[in-house]
Amino acid sequence: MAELSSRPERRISPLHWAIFAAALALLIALPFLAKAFGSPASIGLATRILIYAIAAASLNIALGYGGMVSFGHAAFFGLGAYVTGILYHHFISGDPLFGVITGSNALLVTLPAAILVTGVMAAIIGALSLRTSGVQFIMITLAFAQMLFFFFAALKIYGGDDGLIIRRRNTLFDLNLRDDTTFYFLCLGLTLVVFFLKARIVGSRFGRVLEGIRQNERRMAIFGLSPYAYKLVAFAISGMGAGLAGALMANYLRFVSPDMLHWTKSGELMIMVILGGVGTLFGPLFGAGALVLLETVLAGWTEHWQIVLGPILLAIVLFRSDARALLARAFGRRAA
Amino acid sequence: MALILEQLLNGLQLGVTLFLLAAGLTLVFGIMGVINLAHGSLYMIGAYAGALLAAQTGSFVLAFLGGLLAAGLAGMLIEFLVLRKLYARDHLDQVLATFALILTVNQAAVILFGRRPLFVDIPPWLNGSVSLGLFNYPIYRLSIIALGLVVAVALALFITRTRIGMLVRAGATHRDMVRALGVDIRMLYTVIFGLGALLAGLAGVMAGPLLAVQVGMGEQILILTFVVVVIGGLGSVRGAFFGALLVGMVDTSMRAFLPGLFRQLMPGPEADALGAGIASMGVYLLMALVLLIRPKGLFPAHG
Amino acid sequence: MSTLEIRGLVKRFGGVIATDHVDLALEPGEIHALIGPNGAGKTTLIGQIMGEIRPDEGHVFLDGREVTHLKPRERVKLGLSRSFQIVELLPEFTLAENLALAIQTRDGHSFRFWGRASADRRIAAEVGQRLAEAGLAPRANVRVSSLSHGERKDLELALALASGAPVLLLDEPMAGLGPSESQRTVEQLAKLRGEKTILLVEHDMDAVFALADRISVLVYGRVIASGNAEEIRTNPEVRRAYLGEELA
Repeated sequence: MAELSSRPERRISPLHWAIFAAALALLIALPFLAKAFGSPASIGLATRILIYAIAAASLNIALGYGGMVSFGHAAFFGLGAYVTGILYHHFISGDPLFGVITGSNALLVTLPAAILVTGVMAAIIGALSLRTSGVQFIMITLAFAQMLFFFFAALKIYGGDDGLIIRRRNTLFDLNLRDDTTFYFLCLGLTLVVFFLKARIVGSRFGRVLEGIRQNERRMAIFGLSPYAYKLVAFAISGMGAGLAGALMANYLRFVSPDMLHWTKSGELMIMVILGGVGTLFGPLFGAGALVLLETVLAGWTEHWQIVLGPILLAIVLFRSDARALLARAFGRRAA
Repeated sequence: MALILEQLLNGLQLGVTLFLLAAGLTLVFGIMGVINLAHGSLYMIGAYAGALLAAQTGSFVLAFLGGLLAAGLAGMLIEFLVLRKLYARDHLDQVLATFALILTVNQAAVILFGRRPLFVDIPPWLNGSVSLGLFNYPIYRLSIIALGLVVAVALALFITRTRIGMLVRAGATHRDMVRALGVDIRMLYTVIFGLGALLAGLAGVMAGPLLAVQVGMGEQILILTFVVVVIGGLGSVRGAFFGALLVGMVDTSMRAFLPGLFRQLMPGPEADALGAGIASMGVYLLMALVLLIRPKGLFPAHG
Repeated sequence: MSTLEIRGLVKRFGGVIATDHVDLALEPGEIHALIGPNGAGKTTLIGQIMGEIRPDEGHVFLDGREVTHLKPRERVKLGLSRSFQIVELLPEFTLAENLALAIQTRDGHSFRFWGRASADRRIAAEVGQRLAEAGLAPRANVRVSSLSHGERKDLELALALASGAPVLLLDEPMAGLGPSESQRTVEQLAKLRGEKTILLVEHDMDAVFALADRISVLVYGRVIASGNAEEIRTNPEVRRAYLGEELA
C-alpha cells in the first residue's frame, strides 16, 4: 500500500552543515546587501521566506517525521494570525474579548497566545482526524481547515471576508519592529530557535518513536506504546509552529484575512516541504525559499503565473524520484 | 411545514449533486487507490463547457451533452497524462500532483474565460414551477433530483449486475486481488476514471443554471464531497449516496433555519451573521460527530 | 498457577472457524511448541493472545490475571511480547536503531523531547550486547531494507527478546531459514529455557523436538493432542492428522 516512500535524511552530514552555515551567513548579511544594492524590498521577501520556513518546518514534523499528510496546516497558520489580529483589535478598542481577555499589542503576549491557541486547536482537530489514516486523514484535515476558513469568513466583527487591519506591528521591548530590517532579524532569530527546537525534538526519544510509527505502527504497538498518543502530540506541536508563523505573518503584513487559511495555502506549505525534502531538518528553509522566489519571479513576469507554476510543480512531483536518483548518482551516493 | 418540505427538496437536490461527485471520487479511490483533487476541476470543466455551448448554440441539450463530453475527455486526458504515473506512488505525491493540476486548470480557465462568472439560463421547457400540493417547486430542480436518482439506481445496477461492477466491488476491498486476477487493469482504470469524470461533468453541467459558473467552483464542492466521502465511508458507493443526501439536507436546512432560530435570541443582523457562520460549519461538525462514533464512516467498504 | 492460560478461545471468520474452543496452559519457564498444518489457526491464536485479534468467546489469563479485554500495548506492559512470522521491522532504520528503539520503549514512555536518544550510552551498550548474541554485530549499521531474509528473522527475534518480556509468543522464528541459520536460532532459544515462558509456533520439526518441553497440536482450530515429544510422536491421532504425511 501507499506509504511515504521518501526516505528522510536522518544524519546531518558535514556538507549539510556547510550549506547551512553559508545560508546563515547570507541571511545575516542580507539586509545590508539589500541596502547596498538598492533593493530594500528584498528584505521583505526574505522575511516572508523565513516565516514560511517556520511554517513548513513545523508541518514537516507531522508530515515528514510522523507520516501524517496534513492538508490543513493553513488553518493553524491563519489561526495564529487571527489571534494576533483579534488581540490587537481589542487592544485598540479597549473592550475585552469575551468580557475577560484584554487585548494586547505586546509580542511577548501575542506570540505565546497564538502558539497556545493553535496548539489547542491542533490537538482537537488531530484527536478527531487521527482516528483515521491515509486518504481519509488528508480529506479530513482539509475539511476541518475549510471549516475554520468559513468560520473566520463569517466572523463579521473581525472583518469577515475583508479581514482585519493591524495598524502597527506588535511591540517587543524597545525594538522598533516597524523597521523592516529589525523585524527581519526578529524573524531570523525565531527561525533559528524553531529549527534548533526541531532538531532537538527529531533527535529525542520522542522523535525516534515518531519516525518508528511512520515506518510501522504495528511494530510500535508491540513495543508497547500507543501510536495515536504520539502522533497527536506531534500534530499539536506541528500546529503550534504553524501558529507562530501565522502570528509573525500577521505582524509582517499588518493584515489578517481568511485567505491565510485558504486550502491553497495548505497546499503551498506541503510543496515547500517537498521541494526542500520530506523529513529533512533544514529542507523546509530551502523549500520555502524556492517556492516564494519562484512565485515572485513568475508573478513579476505574468499575472497568470499559476499557469506556469502548476506545470512546474507537477513536473517536480512526477519526476522527483528520478531527479533524486540523478542527484545521488552525481554525488556518487546510493539512490534511495 | 411547506417551507420545511421545500428545504428538504433543496437539500435533496444538493445531495444528488454531491452524490454524482462523491461516487466518482470514491470509485476512483476504491479501484485505483488514488486520491484525485482535480475531481472538482472536472466538475468545473463540465459547467464551463455547458455554459459556453448554451450561450453559443442556445440549445440546452447540446450544452448538456457537450458538458458531459468535455468532462469525460478531460478526465481521460488527465488519467493518461498524470494519474497513470501516480498509481504506485504514495498519497502525498498524488495530492501534490493533482493540486498542481488544479492550479493549472483554474488559471487556464481564468485566461480563457476571465474572472467574471458566467450565467446560464434555465431552458424554457424546464422553466417554471409545478404545484406539489402545499407549495410550488421549480421544475428544473425537480429534474435534477429525478436525474440524480436515476443515475444512482443505474450506478447501483451497474455495480451489482455487470462484470466491471463486480470488479469494482472486489477492487474496493481487495485491490491487490483484482490486480492478481489478470484483469486488463489499464482498461478497467480508464473506464472507471472516465465514468467518474462523466459523473462529475454531469453534476457541473446541471449546476450551471443554478450557480454562477466561475473559477474555484470545483474546489468549493470538492471539499464538501470529501466530507460526504468521509461520512459515508471511503470506497463505498452506497456510503457516498447516503452521505451525500445527509450532507445536502443538513447543509441546506441549517442555512435556511439557523438564522431564524438565532433571531429569536438576539437582534437581526447579528443573528443572521452568527447563524450563517455556524450553518457554514454545520456539515464539518457533522463530520466530526461521525468520526467520533464511527471513524470509518457510516458504510465502510473495508468491513 | 500457569504463566499463560487460555480457556475456550473461539474465533470465527464468517463461516470459517479459525479457533475452536482452544484451551492451553503454559507453565513458568517452559517452552511450549504449537504445531499443526498450514491454516490450522496458529497465527490467529497468537494474535488473540496478544490482543491484536478480538476473540468471539473465551478468556486469556496472564499470571492468573484476566487480560482478555486489554489492548496489545497493555499486555506488553504486563510482560507479554511476540515476534511475527512475516517480519514487522522499521525498514528505514538500521539494525542498531531498531534494537535501540525496542530498549527505549521497554524502559518507559518516550514523551522526552530534549535529550538526544542516540547519546544514551546504556542503551548503546545493551544494543551492542544483544547484536553480538544474535550474531548480527557486523551488520549493526546496515539499514533493515538492505538485510537478507535470515538477518531480518534474527532481528525480529532479537526485538522480541529485547522487550524483556518474560512471556514470548514466537511465530515461526525459523521460517525460511537455512539449516545453519536455524541451528543458531535453536541454540539461542535453548539458552532461554527456564528463564522465559515461550509459546513457539514452528514448522521445523527438528527444532520443535529439540526445544519443546511440551507440544500441542492444532488442527482446524482445535487442539487434538498435548504432551511431551514422545507422547506426540506416538499419538495415533496426531500421526493420522498431521505427522502422518511427514514421518510415515
